[in-house]
Amino acid sequence: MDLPHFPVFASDAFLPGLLIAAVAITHVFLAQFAVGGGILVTFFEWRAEKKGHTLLRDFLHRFFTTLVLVSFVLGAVTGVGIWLVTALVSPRPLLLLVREFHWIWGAEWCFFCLEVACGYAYYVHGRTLGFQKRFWLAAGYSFSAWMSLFWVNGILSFQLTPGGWLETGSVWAGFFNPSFWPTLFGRTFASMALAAIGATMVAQLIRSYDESDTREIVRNAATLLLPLALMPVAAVWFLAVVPEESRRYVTGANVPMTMFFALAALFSVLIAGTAIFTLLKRRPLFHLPGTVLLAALAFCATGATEFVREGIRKPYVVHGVLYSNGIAVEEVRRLRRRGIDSLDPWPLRDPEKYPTRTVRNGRRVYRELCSSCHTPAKMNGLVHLTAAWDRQMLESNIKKLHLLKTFMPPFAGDDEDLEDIVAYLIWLRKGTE
Amino acid sequence: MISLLPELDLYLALYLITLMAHLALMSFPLGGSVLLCLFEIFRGEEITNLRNLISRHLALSVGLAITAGVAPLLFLEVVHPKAFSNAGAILGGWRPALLIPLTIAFYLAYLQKTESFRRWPGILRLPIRLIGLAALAAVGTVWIISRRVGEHAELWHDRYVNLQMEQLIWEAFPLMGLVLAAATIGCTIGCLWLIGGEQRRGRLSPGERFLAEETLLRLAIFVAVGLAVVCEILRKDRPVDIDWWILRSALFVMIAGFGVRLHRIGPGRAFATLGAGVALFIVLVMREIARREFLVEGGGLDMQTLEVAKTREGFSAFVGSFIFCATGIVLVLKLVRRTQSPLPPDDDDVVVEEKRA
Ligand code: HEC
Repeated sequence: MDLPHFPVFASDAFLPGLLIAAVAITHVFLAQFAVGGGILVTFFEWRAEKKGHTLLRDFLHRFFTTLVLVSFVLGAVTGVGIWLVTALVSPRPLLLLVREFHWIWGAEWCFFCLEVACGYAYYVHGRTLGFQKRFWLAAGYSFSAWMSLFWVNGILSFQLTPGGWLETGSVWAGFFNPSFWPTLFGRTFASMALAAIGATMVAQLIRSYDESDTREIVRNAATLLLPLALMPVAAVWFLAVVPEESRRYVTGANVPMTMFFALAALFSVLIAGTAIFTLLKRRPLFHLPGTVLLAALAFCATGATEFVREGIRKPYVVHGVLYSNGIAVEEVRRLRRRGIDSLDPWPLRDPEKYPTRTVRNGRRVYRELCSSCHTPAKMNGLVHLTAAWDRQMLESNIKKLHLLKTFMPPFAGDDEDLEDIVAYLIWLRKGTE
Repeated sequence: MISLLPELDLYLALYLITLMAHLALMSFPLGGSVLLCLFEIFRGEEITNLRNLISRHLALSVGLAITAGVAPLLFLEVVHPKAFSNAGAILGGWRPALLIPLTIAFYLAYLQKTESFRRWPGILRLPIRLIGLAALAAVGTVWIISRRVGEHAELWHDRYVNLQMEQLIWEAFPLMGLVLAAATIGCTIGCLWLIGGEQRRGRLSPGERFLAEETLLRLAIFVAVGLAVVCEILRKDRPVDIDWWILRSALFVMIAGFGVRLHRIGPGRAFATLGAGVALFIVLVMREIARREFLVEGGGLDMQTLEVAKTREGFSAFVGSFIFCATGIVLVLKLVRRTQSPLPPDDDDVVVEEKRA
């Protein structure tokens, strides 16, 4: 493995992982909106030309402006944001992914550049170009946006199912891993659905459109919701290839995870139901507030899906290789013998706060091994979780942490570290009483 | 040139090249924001023309610069993982916080592009332009600080315990001043090329073009000479001092190019661009050499990640994607060049007019 060690960014008030989640969910939502938006624009271009539909053409430009203002700007900014936040919160996992997949990321960047070029050209010149050129720009935009998804999806799905990479170390075996295809299909369908909802909202926002105009656009946009019908196939496929314990998390073994999974499914069914209704009745089901609500549901569905994707990997960030706290699986043995000191040379930020050498070292053990998922006394606070335990229980339970709760990594410190973290927890308890 | 870099490998080369592209592109909105503030204070028809020209391209250039900026981040992570990530942990929330001014700058760039903004009174436009400039400069300042923290390995542990951000900010200001001056020159060069397109599309008469160029060139020569003098002064405390004459010559070519352009003889614009490009590259290389020396001295150079990364497959996917996408971008540019488009759309065409209707 041989990953360098980085200092931990920990906060006593909140879980740093939530920062990643907030930026990542927003980014995924916007990026998928951009991918679906490209498909929608290409589809509408083709439809407008085939049927001589001036309304669709007029709508296209307004829709694309929204796409540019929302997803080009915030999508790009949150994309950089994920990078910066991950480098801060999970530097080791990030480094592992970059070291293995930097050329894949490079390829993704190339398509990102092409996407921006086609997108801006369409945005600036779309109105004055003839159909053929406009269509090619739209098609180039949607293809390159989807290709970005293609590349990134390989890296994201790798984290849960590294597949053949574990044995061979081959980048391609890791990229085309077992969950690559189901997640790619799932994300593509979700993107199209987001774009259809976005288009409905934009159409309803345009005041100069009358009832029948909006109806016409929504009916066309709803076509993009249809692939959602295939989502269950992607979901079942996905569940079939994920590791056994991950599957158990979403099928009852872990209550929040199961709930989020069920919510994502429920929201998707609701959105698909709306689509079917819209197509059958040939008119939008809701007025603007209803559509906004639908978009909020879609955002929640995206959030829940990403939450589940991140959650069912626990205790790993890269399954079977790297734990959530940045400790590599193969390092645990050595750390149990030689202690945290052999890994982490960084001093404490505020040593004067801790009374004894033991408590100080306990704080360092906590920082290294636990702070990615627990604060001392606030979110998922250790003081509260261990309130009823005496010293002996603390020692014996923490020693076999991974057996206590399967989504925790094993305790990776020596006997002294164990004593010290117990001393730290008892000291903390006194302070909060 | 190679003698400048002891181990110029593929990753380092890609890092430097993509970083150069990022900085060159960023110089347009950054320098443009400086010029826009100046142009709100001075009056004149050519000033108005220039103001409109820069405003119209501000948002696009921020977008392109951010897009280009993703790649150097990627390669930096391979080349200097410790310097980059340790700086992040030391700076804590400061580095991700740059997203806030970046978002503000981006939307203000879109605002400055709109027709309705152009009709605002100057007294209201100036504060918006100043905020846009400050936001971009804040982003740049955070990056300068991040780099300095990352390269001083000997101070990592101390700074992790006791950051002293205020001092770092003060120290970064003079550097940011140099960056702003350089960006102003970069923006001028960008404008020289855009003005040609403006005339071709019939938006500027030859006379207007001449006046606009003259204003820009005078300013650029003034700034460039100042910058060259400052470089000479700063040279004294550079830890590395190799091939300084290349930088000098590049700056000379650039300034001469501006002068030639001012007198309408020969290809001044191309010379100025070339000189500026070479100067930027030399500065980047010199900074990289300095960083290596700092890191080696402070015991923070980490070559292991790079060695492992070199053994990984996927290069063909990158090259294939690069060729495909570069071809695509060239085709798009050709298509756009041939289009006799009106002005780029104002976003309020779509959104604001709707509300007015
Ligand atoms: C990968 C994330 C993760 C890491 C790392 C982690 N934990 Fe946990 N831990 C959890 C979660 C999630 C829970 C469940 C909280 C709940 O039930 O509300 C938990 C629960 C606990 C509990 C309560 C167990 C129970 O049976 O009620 C204790 C005690 C605990 N953790 C201690 C630790 C200590 C000490 C460390 C560091 C050595 C640590 N954890 C590291 C995620 C983690």
